[in-house]
Amino acid sequence: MARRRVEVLPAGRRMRVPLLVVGGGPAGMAAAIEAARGGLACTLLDEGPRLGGQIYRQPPASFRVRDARALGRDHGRGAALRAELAAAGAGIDARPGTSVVGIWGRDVAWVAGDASGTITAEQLVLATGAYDRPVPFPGWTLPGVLTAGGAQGLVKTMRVAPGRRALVAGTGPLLLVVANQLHQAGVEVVAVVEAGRPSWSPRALGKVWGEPGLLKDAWDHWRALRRAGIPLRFNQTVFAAHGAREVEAVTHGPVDPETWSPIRERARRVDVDLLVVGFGFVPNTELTALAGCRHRYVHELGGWTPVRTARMETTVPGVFAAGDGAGVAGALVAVEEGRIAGITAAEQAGLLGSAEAERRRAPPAARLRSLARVREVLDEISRLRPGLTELATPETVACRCEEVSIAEVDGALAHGARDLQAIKLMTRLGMGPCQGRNCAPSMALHVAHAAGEGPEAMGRINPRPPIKPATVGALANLNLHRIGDAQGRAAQPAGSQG
Amino acid sequence: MKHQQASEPMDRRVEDGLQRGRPVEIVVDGLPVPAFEGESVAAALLAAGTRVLRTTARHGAPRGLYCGIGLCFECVMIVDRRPNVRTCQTPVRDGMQVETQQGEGRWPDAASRSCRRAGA
Repeated sequence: MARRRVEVLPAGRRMRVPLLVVGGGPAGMAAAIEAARGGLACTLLDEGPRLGGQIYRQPPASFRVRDARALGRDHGRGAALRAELAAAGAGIDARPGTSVVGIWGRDVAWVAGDASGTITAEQLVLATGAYDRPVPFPGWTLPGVLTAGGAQGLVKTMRVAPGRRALVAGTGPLLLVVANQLHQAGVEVVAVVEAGRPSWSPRALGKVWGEPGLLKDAWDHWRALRRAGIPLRFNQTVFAAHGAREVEAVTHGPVDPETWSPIRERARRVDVDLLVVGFGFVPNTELTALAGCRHRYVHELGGWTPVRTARMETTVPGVFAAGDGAGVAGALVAVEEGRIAGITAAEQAGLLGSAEAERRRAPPAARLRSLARVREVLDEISRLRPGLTELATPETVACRCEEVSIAEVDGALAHGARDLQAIKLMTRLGMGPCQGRNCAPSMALHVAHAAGEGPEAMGRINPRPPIKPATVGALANLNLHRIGDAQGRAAQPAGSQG
Repeated sequence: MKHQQASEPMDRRVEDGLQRGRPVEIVVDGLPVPAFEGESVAAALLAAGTRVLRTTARHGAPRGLYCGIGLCFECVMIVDRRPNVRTCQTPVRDGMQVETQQGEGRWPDAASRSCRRAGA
């Protein structure tokens, strides 16, 4: 396979582009494709070394795919989208390996290794994806505890088995997929424990008849697990991981079917060296927050999500949000949302008439209506029950970066803290390099549970640029004092009020 | 630090579906670890059975790969003398020097090196 030379964007210089798409997963690729088809040139940035995002992640460029089927159906879907991207022509300037570290108005700061620069975009599509919802429990920081997405990435793109003997725990259909992939990679999967009820029951599956592809995926994985003799246990979850330096065993057991409160008297211990945990996903909304978009808390979509129109417009003119980063609904929905965003961007740039834009939006809009039925099923799955917050004990680490315990968070509450920002100031929760991505979603639920309020009342931990660590040299090259000049505003995060 | 080379070589790579890149060797805490071009540092270490990648600043607790997508910063190590490098996002390079990171890690003779780098 020919290896494409990845050129670095012109460092230190300000570029102007008609459309900047941030995120090269399903939504971002689809937005770029439709924008280019509409005649709108666009620049597509992604942090990963190759386009694809997480679900359509490609193996490294130096690997050669011998058997595409061994890599799963999503590999094929990703390949089809990349082929569309390639066919969309020279209007797309794709720059993998490039992180966006901040947004001020329409000025976007990027970093690629030690190089950096800014891009002023007339329009922006933010397609930043989602990440595994962190759920704290005793031992969750031990090496050998992996997120479902992380384990899947290793097996799918690196073909490395992250352990020998595994328990897979959490909720949602991804558990089946990951368990199956681990099994095929030679890992002994002792059980899959699903906190919820069977979301793939015949009744639930009846709702997705309009989507035979998804139905077949779920059935295939379920059948494969049954063939392999891997038990699937409902209304059970992991209680703790044990080990001195790495995972040596885990405790799991039943939960109350309504509240998911752990029933500890009936816990069982099993020797494993790998625990894979997947409790759904949280949208990555740092960039929509920095861009100044209004957000609202929607349980079913994974938490804080940007407010959008049916054309994927956020509350900031010229800024679109598409895909899981705007509300978790999976890759198939992300692609259609991305298409609508790209078409609308071309329309607003004056390159497509409104009738033509409407004609082009019709097929993806119809697909979204069909997928909405799948979403109903997903909504039920991703509705986390409050008992999950009871897994953690006072000693459990709440903030992985700063090593803040649940007891310290509770101490801040006792001293009058009423939201995440106050807890951050009192405990250092969320002040580490992950910027609260790992602690904010779970602590919002924990604190809300304790206070008897909704997680939306807990506010957010405001993202601050650079949202990914950058060297001082890279930041110096950004000429930050000049950023925002075009809009006549100082270099302050536009979304600092959250 | 326990490395599998000491006893019997461990390899958790799955041999189907993919033809890997060119074999290379990285050096982890002074010991050679085999890897393939294109692999992340974290994947090469996992394949060799090494899962403790750092210890924390406050409690000295062991940490390893967790999110695998560059968001959690649990897998950071000292790579080619630069601390806090996300090993899940960093491809291996032949001869790459990797160290288990203690706490926040250290820059070697920080003053002279980073000044030169910033001026470059």
